[in-house]
Amino acid sequence: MAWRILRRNPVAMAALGLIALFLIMAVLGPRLRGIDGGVINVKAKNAPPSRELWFGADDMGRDLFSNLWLGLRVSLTVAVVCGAAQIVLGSLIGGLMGYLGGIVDVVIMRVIEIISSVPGLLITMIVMMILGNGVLSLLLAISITSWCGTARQIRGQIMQLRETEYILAAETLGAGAWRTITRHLIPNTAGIIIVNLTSSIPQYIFMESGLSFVGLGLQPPNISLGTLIASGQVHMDFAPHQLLFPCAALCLIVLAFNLLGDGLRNALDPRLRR
Amino acid sequence: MGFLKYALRKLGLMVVTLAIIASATFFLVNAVPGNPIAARTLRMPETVKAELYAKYGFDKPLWPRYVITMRGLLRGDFGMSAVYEGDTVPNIIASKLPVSARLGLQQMLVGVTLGILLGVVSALKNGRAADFAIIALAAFAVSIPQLVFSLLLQKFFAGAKTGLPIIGWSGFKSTILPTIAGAFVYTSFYARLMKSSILDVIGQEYIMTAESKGISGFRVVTRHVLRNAFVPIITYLPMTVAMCVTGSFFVESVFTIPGLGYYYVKSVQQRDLSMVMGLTVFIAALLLAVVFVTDILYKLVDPRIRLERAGKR
Amino acid sequence: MSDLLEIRRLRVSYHTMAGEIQAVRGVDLSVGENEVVAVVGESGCGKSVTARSILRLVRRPAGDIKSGSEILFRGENVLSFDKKRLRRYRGGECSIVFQDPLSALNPTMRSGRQIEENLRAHSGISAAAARAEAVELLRRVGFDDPARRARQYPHELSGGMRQRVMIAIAFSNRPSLLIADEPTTALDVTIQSRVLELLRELQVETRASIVLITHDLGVVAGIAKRIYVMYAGRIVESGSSEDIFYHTAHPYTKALLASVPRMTMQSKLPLPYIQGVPPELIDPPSGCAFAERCALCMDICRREEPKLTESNGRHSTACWFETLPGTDGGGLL
Repeated sequence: MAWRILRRNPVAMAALGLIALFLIMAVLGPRLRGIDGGVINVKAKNAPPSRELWFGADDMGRDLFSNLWLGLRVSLTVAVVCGAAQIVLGSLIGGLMGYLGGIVDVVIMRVIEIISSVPGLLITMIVMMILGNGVLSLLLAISITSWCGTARQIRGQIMQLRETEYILAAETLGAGAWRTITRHLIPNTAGIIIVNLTSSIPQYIFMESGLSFVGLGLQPPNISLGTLIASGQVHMDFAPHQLLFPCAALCLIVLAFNLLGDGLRNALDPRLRR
Repeated sequence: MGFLKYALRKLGLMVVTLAIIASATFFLVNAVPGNPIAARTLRMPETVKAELYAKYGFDKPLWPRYVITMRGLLRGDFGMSAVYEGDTVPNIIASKLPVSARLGLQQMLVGVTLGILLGVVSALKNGRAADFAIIALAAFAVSIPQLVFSLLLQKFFAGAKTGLPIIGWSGFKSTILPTIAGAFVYTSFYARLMKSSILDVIGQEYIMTAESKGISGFRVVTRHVLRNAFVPIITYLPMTVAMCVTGSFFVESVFTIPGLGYYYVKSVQQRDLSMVMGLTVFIAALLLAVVFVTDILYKLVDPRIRLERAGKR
Repeated sequence: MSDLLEIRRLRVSYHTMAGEIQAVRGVDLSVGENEVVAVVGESGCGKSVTARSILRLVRRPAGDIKSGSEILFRGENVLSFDKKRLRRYRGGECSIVFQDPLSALNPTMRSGRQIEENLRAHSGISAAAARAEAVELLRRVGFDDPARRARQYPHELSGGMRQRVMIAIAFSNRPSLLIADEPTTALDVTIQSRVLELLRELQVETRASIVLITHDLGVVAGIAKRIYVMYAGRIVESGSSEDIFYHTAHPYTKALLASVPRMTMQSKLPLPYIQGVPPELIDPPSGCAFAERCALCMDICRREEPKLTESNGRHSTACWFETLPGTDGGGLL
């Protein structure tokens, strides 16, 4: 049902296509031109875009086209891994709270409230400080606060569902817990999870590039859109392509996720369907 | 009426929350491998090193240090910065907060005002060209990371041509680009919020009542629609104020503005543990205080919330 | 015959994502001077949409009063009023009372102000005079302490009080026509009759005509002189209240009457209700809309739509069973 509505939305489908394209390029892009992005080439130092180097070269003559897709790889990895962490942790913890209730629920709820009262960026930075720079620590640092919102909403949904009659009916009819979960809980919570996810993935991509930009995420020689943008800022006066290409890539990927998110929200929210 | 009891309970809860945040921050920060003075003291004689360690308390084990730190926090003593020699953390906060606050408030003033205006236009022209333009712009704007927007502004609008400084914080001119860079986030958020709020109100029956009185369309909009549409907007404002006062990390980093956000990033980079600790607790306290005050104000101001509580009893 | 209000061929549609819902499908209705007329039907039958159309409160672009519809107020077509004329008509000559006074009153405006607003929109009286007049109106609708109530917000009043405020707004300019859209449905049963009584008193006093919209035949009984019964966007039966109650013609009206609880009924017996649901108005049936639920349904009922036909005097019904020759109208039930 939701898919059918989404398919009729040209903007959302274009966004989906763009994401697919970026995914393919993140895998194939770095090897497409046959130029190793890691090779320093003094002759091509700060070279503008040309037929040879499509996106130009950086201050050490490295091919920006190849490196851009490497950077995008990090962004997409962050999107996928942190998104997955949000769903898995969020549903698990939220489910636990909703199903067990009582003291477990109260304690976790307090924890969530405490975590949410500090800006997520601060927590992420402190965790990065402990773990040091690197992709793995970055993923962990972003994931660590990612589950709170989802958990809270899943919990609310389950509490609400448990009140409603049809769960009661299912339980009294002797349907097992498993059946209750697969038949009632998942279909009713899937929408929330997806809508949640599409609004937080752009945040994760933002966070990664921002942290790497200020030197708290990845650091050269590791490549991410953030590090590319940071070195682009240094040379923005005489080699603007070094800044503009990574910026454009970042904007496009975030735009694609946002538009897809809007489309999904419309498709999934029955109140908007009227 | 139990109001005082309610306020006290909330206040107590807030203090407990803050204590937990402070403790968690303390242990997190102390899990950081190495400390800021280790690098500096590498080539120093043992006696000097020991003296420095004693000065910052790194000579004591974790628990006594925890007790000392927490006791200090209670007295408002956030300790010394390990990097900015001789400066206490509260001093640094006191000197950076006005910068962040000014920048944030300017961003908010511009951004929220523009956002509300665009939201009103978009809602009243719902489904027409102006609405589509505004909504598309808002959707587009949220997709441009603040970081990228700041950089683009810096690239294209700073420098000799416009006379706007590229970096730094000196005088009104230097605040223009950072203000714009941060403002558009508020603009797109409040434009969307205002639009959905107005559309929500327009669908209400009392708007039909107003129309059935034969008053002018202008009066229906100003007296009935806008007045009610502002209620949800107002609930978001205090949090926006708190967020903007604490500084915007990326805008401050791009424009090298000496505000809280910039110094937070620097402290994390330099492993200035007492600064990170102090800033985190301070920002958390500020946000919690805003939530608390908002909550109390609402209970006092909006009689509908009071009514709901009375209904439950 | 010069009627105060005459609706001709009213058709109203709502555009939704699922398609065009034909909420009102050709309604003719007339209201005389100083007359109380009731429109009765289940929820979703189009009676509220009809009520709103009279004040042109059907909102574009979702709602659409079809061309060819006419709403004549003292001979003038309301649908072709210009802005100025419409403002004079709304709240001045014709006003409306909605079902739920909590959602129909502005929550952020004092109740007195909401009355003053209507007063001042239609005469040049000063703010102070309007305030005094509003208090007087509140006294008239039954408040003991009108000055205090005028300063209160709607949520500070009870449901019945709110509806009284709504009625005070509606009557503030002594309109010649009042639309009352389910005015008692959202109220406690104990208050319903008092609000109805108030409406009737004010009607007698101001000689206004009232169009009373309701799903409850019990509400209608004592008040309305004439009754229109609506089903699936059409009038299926109309006549004097005597005709409707004692010479019921249409099977739907009969079913509606049978489902009104009565004191004399034996409590052991289940309350009769109408089986089935009304048809979808996105794709209305080509025959009689009630056919699927009707006990007397014949072949022709599913094929062709029955016209509203006068049987005697002003009693009309739209039913093949009644109008086809050879069928014994009304004899079966």
